[in-house]
Amino acid sequence: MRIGKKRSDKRLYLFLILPSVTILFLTIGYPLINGIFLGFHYYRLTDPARGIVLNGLQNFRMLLFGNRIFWISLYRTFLYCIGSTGVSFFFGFLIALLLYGPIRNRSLFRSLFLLPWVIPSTVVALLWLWIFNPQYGILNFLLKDLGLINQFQSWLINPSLAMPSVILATSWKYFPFFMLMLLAGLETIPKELFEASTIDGATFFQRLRYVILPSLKEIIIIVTILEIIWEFQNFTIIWILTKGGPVYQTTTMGIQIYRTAFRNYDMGMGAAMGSLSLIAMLIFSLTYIKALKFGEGD
Amino acid sequence: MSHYRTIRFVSGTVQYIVIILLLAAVMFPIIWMVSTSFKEHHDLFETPPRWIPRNPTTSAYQRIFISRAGAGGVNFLTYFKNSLIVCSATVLFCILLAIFSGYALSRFHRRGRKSLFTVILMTQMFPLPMFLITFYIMFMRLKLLNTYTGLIIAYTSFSLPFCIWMIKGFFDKIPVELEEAALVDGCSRMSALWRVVIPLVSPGIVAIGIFAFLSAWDEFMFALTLMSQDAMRTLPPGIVLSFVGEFDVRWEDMMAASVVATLPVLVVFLLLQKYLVEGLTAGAVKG
Repeated sequence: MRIGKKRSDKRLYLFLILPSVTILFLTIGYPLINGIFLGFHYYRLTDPARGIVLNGLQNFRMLLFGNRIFWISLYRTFLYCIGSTGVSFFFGFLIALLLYGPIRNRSLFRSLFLLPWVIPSTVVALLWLWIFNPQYGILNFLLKDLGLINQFQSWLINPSLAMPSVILATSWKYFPFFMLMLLAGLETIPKELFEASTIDGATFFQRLRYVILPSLKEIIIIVTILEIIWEFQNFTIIWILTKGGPVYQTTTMGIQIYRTAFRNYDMGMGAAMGSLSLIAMLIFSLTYIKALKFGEGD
Repeated sequence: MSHYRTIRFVSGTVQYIVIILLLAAVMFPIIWMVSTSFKEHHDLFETPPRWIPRNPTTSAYQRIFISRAGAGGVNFLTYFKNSLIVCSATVLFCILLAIFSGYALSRFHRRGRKSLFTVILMTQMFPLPMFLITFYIMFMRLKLLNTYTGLIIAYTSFSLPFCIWMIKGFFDKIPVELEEAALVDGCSRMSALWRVVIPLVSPGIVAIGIFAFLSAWDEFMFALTLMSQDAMRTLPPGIVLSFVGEFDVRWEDMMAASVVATLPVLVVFLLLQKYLVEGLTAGAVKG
């Protein structure tokens, strides 16, 4: 009785897999195709008399050459993704390294560091909205007490501080994901590798370069790419904190698509922008994966 | 334990102090949220602010559970109930569908770990706001706007790919021989699945359940757009629309609502975190 060899097994396979495939096609495949098609149409919810009318490449022409909002939001998305992934990776990795090994209260520390990740995004955003409050927010008081700022800052209103502030709130929520995954990765590194490097008299940074990073390479690629993709999509934290402002400082693609479709009710233009953001994301993540795989020969 | 000592780049005491400092930096927003929720409105504006409220009070908590007369009698409890309904249904559907297809993928494509991950990565890349547009148009035609069904369909489809990937990792670890033995003993394929395999992957089922629950509890954009009636709103848009944008923001009520909205996920997480951690790392970390 070998499993997976008989014809009845084929039928069982189809029976098991079809429900998910059907649902995923109807809820992901079809909307995706539909969305791409919609991008080539004129469709405004405020203009129901005209309905959905084919207008060729007009939406795309408008986005790419008509005004600069698309390019601004692409650039802002890029900054936001790189910033929040970078900051949360740095702190996640640092804390994972600190928690690796027999520290007193290690599992308590790990649970406490994981807390921000469990808190719903909406709560995270509202919480930081209060922390960033220019007159009564705790951040200004804390930083002034520590001597890091001279006067109170309007974190979300000052154009040069808005993006870093939004990145700070986002990274606070997502660094635990990196900590968790990298800690799990560290624990799979064979002890012998560390022992050998100790005998060779390697410094910590040599060990990081030649033992830890190569062993964690695959997991680092997986978690950073997932995080970049998630941040590319992040809407909740930015929308609640700044609604994309001041001016266009924190207007990422997600924010701009939402604005176009659900504030200006221009569904066709929103869908066209969605297609462009999908292309941007594909190019970006493929380049990223290629760039990291490139060094595999060393 | 000698290898542990060798990884350290600072002495044990310094390491401990650094951990405590980082922990303080990470915890202060949470402490601030809880502290604010127990304050009186006028105590919010004293300078310097106090970490421990001068007169701790639960009046903010009492206020959020009382119906707001001006808003059609809808209160926080309604949002809470809506969130619970949508999330539980999503968890149920995700578990059922993921078990079936995860098992099938594991038994029939044993080595597809990387290619399956690529497919899942692709589904994560599809821009959610674009889905929102097509979902909105679809649901408008199907009369699914302002229904639980609509939101449940959306959430199930977004969590499902990741759930399948996670549970497949668990199925992969169960030796096929175990099932074959059950078949020899006269079990059918389905009863071998239910009686032998499912009990062994129960940690994985818990893991995908938590994942689906946390994601659905967290979701804001779809809930905000697909549910326009106040009585149908879930917690995230419910809280935001009740408090943000008012002229005189009731921060203490907002923080009390935030604490209450966090409690269910916190309880689920604290009780079951080892399953979720196992589930997430089983897929990504080879071990």
